[in-house]
Amino acid sequence: MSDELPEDYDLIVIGTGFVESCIAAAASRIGKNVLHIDANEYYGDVWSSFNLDALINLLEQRPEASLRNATYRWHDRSTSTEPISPSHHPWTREALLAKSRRFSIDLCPRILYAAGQLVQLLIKSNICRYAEFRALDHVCMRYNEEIVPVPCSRSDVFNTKALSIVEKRLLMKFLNGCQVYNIKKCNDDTLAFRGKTFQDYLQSQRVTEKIASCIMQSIALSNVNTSFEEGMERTQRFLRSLGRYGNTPFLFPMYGCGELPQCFCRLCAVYGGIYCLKRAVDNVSLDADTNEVLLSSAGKTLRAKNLVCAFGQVPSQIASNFGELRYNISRAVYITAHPLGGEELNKGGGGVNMMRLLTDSGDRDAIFIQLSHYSGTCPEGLYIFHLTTPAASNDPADDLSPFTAQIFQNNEPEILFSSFFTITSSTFSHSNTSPIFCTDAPSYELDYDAAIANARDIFGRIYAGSEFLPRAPDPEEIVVDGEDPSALSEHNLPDDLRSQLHDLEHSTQLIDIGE
Amino acid sequence: MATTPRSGGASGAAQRPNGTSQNKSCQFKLVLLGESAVGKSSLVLRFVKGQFHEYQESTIGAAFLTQTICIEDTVVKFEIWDTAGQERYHSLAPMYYRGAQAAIVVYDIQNQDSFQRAKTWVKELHKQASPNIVIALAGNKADLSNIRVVEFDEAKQYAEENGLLFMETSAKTGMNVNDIFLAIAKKLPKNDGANNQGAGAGRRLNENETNRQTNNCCK
Repeated sequence: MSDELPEDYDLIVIGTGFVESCIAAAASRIGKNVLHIDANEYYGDVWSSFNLDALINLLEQRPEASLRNATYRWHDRSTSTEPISPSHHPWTREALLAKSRRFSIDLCPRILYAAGQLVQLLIKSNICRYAEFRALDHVCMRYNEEIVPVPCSRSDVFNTKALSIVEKRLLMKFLNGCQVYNIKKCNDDTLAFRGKTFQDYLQSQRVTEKIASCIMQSIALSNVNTSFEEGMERTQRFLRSLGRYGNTPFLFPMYGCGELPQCFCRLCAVYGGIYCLKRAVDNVSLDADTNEVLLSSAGKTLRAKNLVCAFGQVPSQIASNFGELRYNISRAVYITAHPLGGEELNKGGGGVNMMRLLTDSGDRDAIFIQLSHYSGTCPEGLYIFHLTTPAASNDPADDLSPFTAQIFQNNEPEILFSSFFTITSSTFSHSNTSPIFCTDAPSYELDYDAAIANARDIFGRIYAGSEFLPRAPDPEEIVVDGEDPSALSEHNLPDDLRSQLHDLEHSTQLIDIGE
Repeated sequence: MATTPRSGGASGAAQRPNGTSQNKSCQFKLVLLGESAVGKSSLVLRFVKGQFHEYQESTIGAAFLTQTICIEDTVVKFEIWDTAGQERYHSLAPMYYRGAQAAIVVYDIQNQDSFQRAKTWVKELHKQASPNIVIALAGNKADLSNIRVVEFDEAKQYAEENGLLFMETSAKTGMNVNDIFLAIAKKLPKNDGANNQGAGAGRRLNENETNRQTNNCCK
């Protein structure tokens, strides 16, 4: 068997980031012939997770496209005079690097709403069987310079000692109000707030300051500029995701968010997509007669009806359609030997926790994620802190300084390693006739809604009318006896029959939804 | 929707050693590795479906199959992952090994390169996979042993030196196919909690959905 790549494809995808992988999987799933390549030797592009060695390598390379302004520092505790107790593990630089492979550090960490778009998509497409998740242990907030848990479930609200009985009533009343709110209904109570901010509404509800910050910071994920409608929508999203997988409405992918693109890639491969990492593209051109894309890579010309390209891996020939790369997200990564917050938030060796931070003026916000070894992203006894905020400059440390001040104010955890970097973005002007599409850079969001919307949009423009990631059959449904059309023999069928089979499958699924 | 988390797979959760049921049940993730065209998918198909297709198309296999076997008082359910062809251009995703408790590294006894490649996979597993992973080496296409190039003793010695189970198999005749899975099942730790051990403390999203889906969908 030759190891040469085939030359003709329906779709070539460059970059194995989240959005590209979604599109590759979706195209392959509907029977398109897909080649998925990446110039890097790892999956995930800027959406990837790295072990400690690999992260340091990446930061030292100081790449200029999707990642920039990268710095890192070891906080060596050199000649500390305090005696080290026998139970106290001395986490030196060497000790950390020796466990490098136990780390899985995300460039773009995200938290998933348990009933959010990504979770729905993973379940609907059956891609969820490739991944495991950890339900977040706690949602936290900063109140009176303390880090305290946010009551999430109804039982949390009743059990928490952090709220008085009056506050509990107020919070429940408020949340119930949000639950019945409907944007289309003209409700007298809420009509007056259309066009105002969510904070205006909150103030009108006569909740205490503590409840207000709880809702603003953690439940509605709002800041002072968030509109009333948006705040209500976010509150509802939070409430809808409660009670599904654990005590909080949030999930984190085991081993880091870098697993997610790989899950989509696997589905693409299962349906025949070809994978080739470490494959750079030297030239891209259009065949004037057929409007097909010609790609030269490693001395070979590949041909495809369409090309989808990650914004960070755009070949220079089409880069002219690109706006300037601009700072987009400011990130910090800390490795520490102590979790943040008290024992209540870190039972059994540390929680996988999330906290939203607001500046004092309330106009800028950041997402803080604490990962313990329960997330599969770091060795036991260590913690990864991720901080993410929309970039305001090319200095990620400066952008994040109000938030680092908040989290390290009262309890300086033993920081062992810190790193700052900027994730960039750019705009791509796409002409209607071009078969070349470019995906967006990661945006500042908690979940993957914008990324999925981007993938869906590009998929829809290439394959109008086709379903985006319909359900893949379970193993039990794959029958190879020959009496039943099966996913296994399906690939021996000629193209036209194969697409008919897909249509058939598709229509049976629609019936199921109807039931 | 259910609010209480369940551990393990569908068969694993119901029974506890201290409960009334006599049988323990464990679920394990098993991954297949090896060069293209050595017969990885064919081995699984033989094991799971009892079938063999002479001209099994390359790259696409049964990318995700399950098979349950009983050994002594334990029901062992294998969740078997095939590479889906991603190994072909050396681009197997690392998520493939995540939480795998067992691996079968396959080579073709007629192909020396595939044996060398198998050794590379073993090294890779020792580096990347969980330290307790049970690895079996399978010299496939043993029905063609008259034109073999990889000697039985050579492979056996390599396996012993590296702590691997070893058998020569034939997906075509079925020789040793069930046996190699059985040998793996015997070697895997089946104490309580083995369900979740290798797979971390994570949970699958579709647990709550499983019943609905198998009841409703497709024939």
